[in-house]
Amino acid sequence: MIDKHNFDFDKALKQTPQVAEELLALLSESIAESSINCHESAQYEKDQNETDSSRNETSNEGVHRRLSLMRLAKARRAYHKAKNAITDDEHEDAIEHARRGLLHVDLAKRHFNSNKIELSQLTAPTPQFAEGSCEESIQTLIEAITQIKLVVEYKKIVLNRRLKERLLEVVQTLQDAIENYGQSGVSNIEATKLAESGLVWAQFIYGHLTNDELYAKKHSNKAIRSLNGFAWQITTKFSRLSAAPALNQLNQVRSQMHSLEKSLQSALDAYMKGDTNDLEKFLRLGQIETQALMKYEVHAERRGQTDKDDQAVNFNLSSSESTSLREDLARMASLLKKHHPNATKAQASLEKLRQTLPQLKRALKEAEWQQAAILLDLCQSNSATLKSEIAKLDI
Amino acid sequence: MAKLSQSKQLIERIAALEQFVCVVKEAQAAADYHQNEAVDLSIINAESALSEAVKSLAQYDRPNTAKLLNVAWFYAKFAQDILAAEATEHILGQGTYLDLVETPKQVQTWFEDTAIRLEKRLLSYEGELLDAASSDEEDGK
Repeated sequence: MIDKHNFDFDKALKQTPQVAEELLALLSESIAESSINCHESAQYEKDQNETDSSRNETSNEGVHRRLSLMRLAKARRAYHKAKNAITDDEHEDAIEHARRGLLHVDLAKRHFNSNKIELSQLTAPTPQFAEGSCEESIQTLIEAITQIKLVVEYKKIVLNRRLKERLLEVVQTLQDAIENYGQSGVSNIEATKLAESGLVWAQFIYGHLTNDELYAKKHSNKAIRSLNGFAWQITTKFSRLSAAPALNQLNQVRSQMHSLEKSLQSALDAYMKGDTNDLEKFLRLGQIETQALMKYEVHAERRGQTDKDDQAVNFNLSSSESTSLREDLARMASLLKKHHPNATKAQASLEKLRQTLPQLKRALKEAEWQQAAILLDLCQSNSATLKSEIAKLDI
Repeated sequence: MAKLSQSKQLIERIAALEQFVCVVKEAQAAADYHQNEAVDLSIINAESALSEAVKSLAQYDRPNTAKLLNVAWFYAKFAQDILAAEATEHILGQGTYLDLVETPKQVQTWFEDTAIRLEKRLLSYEGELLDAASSDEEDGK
């Protein structure tokens, strides 16, 4: 027999026609009861408002009435589904719909009895996550992105294209990590790694902006500690160096710093694949490149070319350093693949361009004019196709 | 005090989170100084996760319900943090907001800009070829 006054959602129910009908009756009564309460309360508040003109018009929104009504509407829909299922002798379906309906009614009551609080005064119902858990990593990533946003807005920083695209990628990584985490029956390993890789890139961006470490607490995972340390080192240690405007080898330094960024990317890729050997190899390679850069740093310091930290940060951020065409075409390919998988013509043209452009560049460099002319024709034709296909995309 | 059943605890969390998302949504609607796409998307995702959580609980899948509630919380918290940062910037700053996702319009513009950049690069290569051809002609004279 079902307890009408305190329905136990934990208790497994027998899948019989009798239980289905009992549940339907309970749902029907509960909906009626809640609807009456909701209506009476609304009427009472309406009367109060009419008699007291000084009262705020919106005071009847003091409770979560809209949510309550929304849940009651869902309960009614669940009731009709349950009823139809009983009519068709599908008792298991009927029981599930009726249980869902009862959940909606329970939620409607709770909303109806809850006072509304403004967002600025509301404490988010924060769950307690275990240290080192996937959930903790995702939570830390959310805080890291917000921290970056606050710094950029507070310091009025205009991010260069490279950093802006990195940040967009970090936000996308957060989205991917949450989506992956929410998949039913899937382990949290992939989601954890995605969140951790986002944390490393967030440190990379934050280091560029502030010359500082982003995380107050060291990560419990040793590999992530190393990667975070590396990301911090390459963005902060040499920012003074790249700020040395008179340094003759500036382009070389920049190219070496991009190479360090690639080493970080490769190390992270290895971490994602669980390849410890490669991870350590790329961290070692990064260290080798770091040593070389330190030589430039010592040289620049001797010549007194480095400036204050503030200037270093400004130099890094205001530099017109942008992504290369090659990088942009790679990003375009990835965006097309992800968001427009049916845009095959655009993808094919782009792929051919990505193959032939370097060949064309090489042919020009080596003064192979005839070959270069053929490749240029090919590139121009693919470029025209790509442009017209992009215009057709429904973005 | 009697200990709440697992399901009751989950229902309490659903209700609390639903109210949290609702307040975040109202704050976003009121933020006439800037509409952040990331907030809109996060609210949609949080609401969707809450809806799935109710379905999951009706099917006795309590571990999955708990997970879906965490998902809803992540999205709602992210939206709240962005709104709080932008409210601070609105009150104390100069209204310079950093968008965290690209709108479809921005993506479209970026696609078109990249295509133009590509055309210009090809034109410069064409120029190199023409220069080479004309210097060959001069050499031949």
